[in-house]
Amino acid sequence: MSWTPSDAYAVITRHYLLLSFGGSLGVLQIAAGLAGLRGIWLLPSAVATRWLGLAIITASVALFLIAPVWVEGPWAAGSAEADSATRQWGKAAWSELAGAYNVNDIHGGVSGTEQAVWLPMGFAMALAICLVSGALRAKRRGPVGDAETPDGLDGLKTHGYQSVLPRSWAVFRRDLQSEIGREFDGRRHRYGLPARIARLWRRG
Amino acid sequence: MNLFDRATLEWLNGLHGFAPLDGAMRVIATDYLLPLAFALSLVALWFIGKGREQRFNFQMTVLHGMFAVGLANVAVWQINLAWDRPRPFEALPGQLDLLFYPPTDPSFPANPVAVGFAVGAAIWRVNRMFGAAVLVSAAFFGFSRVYAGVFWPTDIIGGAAVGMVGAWGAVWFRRLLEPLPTLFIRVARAVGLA
Repeated sequence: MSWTPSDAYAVITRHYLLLSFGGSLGVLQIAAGLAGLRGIWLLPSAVATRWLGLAIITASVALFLIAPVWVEGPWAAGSAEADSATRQWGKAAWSELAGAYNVNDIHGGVSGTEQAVWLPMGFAMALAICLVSGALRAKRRGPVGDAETPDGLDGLKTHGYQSVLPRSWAVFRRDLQSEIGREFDGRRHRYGLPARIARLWRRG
Repeated sequence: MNLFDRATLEWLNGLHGFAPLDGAMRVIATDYLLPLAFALSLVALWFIGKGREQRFNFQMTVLHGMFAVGLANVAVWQINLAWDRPRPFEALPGQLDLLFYPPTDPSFPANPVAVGFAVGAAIWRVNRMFGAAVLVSAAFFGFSRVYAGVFWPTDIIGGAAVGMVGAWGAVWFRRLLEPLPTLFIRVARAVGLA
């Protein structure tokens, strides 16, 4: 089958998005397990959460690398040869798997700039799943301890995101006038560019 | 091309032929795995801090790392405009066994290595072990690209230097932009994510 760079791009982008989603989900679970952020755990214990994160990362990378065996793409023949322009469309043989994704971006590979768009999307999906799952678990279980919900990630140590979000926003609004105003008033960061611009603006 | 570059490249190219090693190098050299690992190491750093102070410090380092990557990319782009160094397979046509697609952009400095070193050097400032792991991964990434025949060894050294300088420049750049980076973290905290 003849193929165009946009055919290859569609397939590789889909695989990359899944890889970045799985990688982000795994990293979030490991980090949340280490930092004790119960509000984004997918499992009830820190140790299990960390192991789950490692398993998700391993599975995502393995799936990404071997997917060309059953998914058609620009890797049917010629992956072991360097030039991605001369390849056939189809499924890859096991012997050609290692170089399957080595496709130049002018032939449909995902460039660094495009990766900087797809990766945050994968991360956002992973974070959404963690927050929703943590919120559902926290709702069922109730908060850990009797303390008032702290704001920010500290709140996720004891509460679900549904409690942390309104509390964090309330604290931010309360501090907005005093602290954020002080950040911008030109004294604390008087050599920073924004403070200089603000001073010039005030002078007219 | 200098003697060091040519001798090292030809020696590494002479090792080709052992299928498991060639396959491993093809996988490591791919555009997707290690750059993703560099980015996800910043994601991990954002969430991993224990207390509020350490977390703020780590999150500021994440922004520092992102500025460092930006500066390193600008530096690579400017150097590429000034010096269009031919890739090894272009300078030694027919003499190298290529394990990777032939890139069309200039060889010096190695852009992916610059990105890895920018992230690693930023993380190194707050966590030596984590930073060292990223720096070693970036160096290994560069080695795989030299092994594959698409970079000269001095491209890797140049990329590492650009990444380190980018990380150093990002400290100054972040200070210049204050209080915006602090405000960014405050807004992230306002939505419960910092």
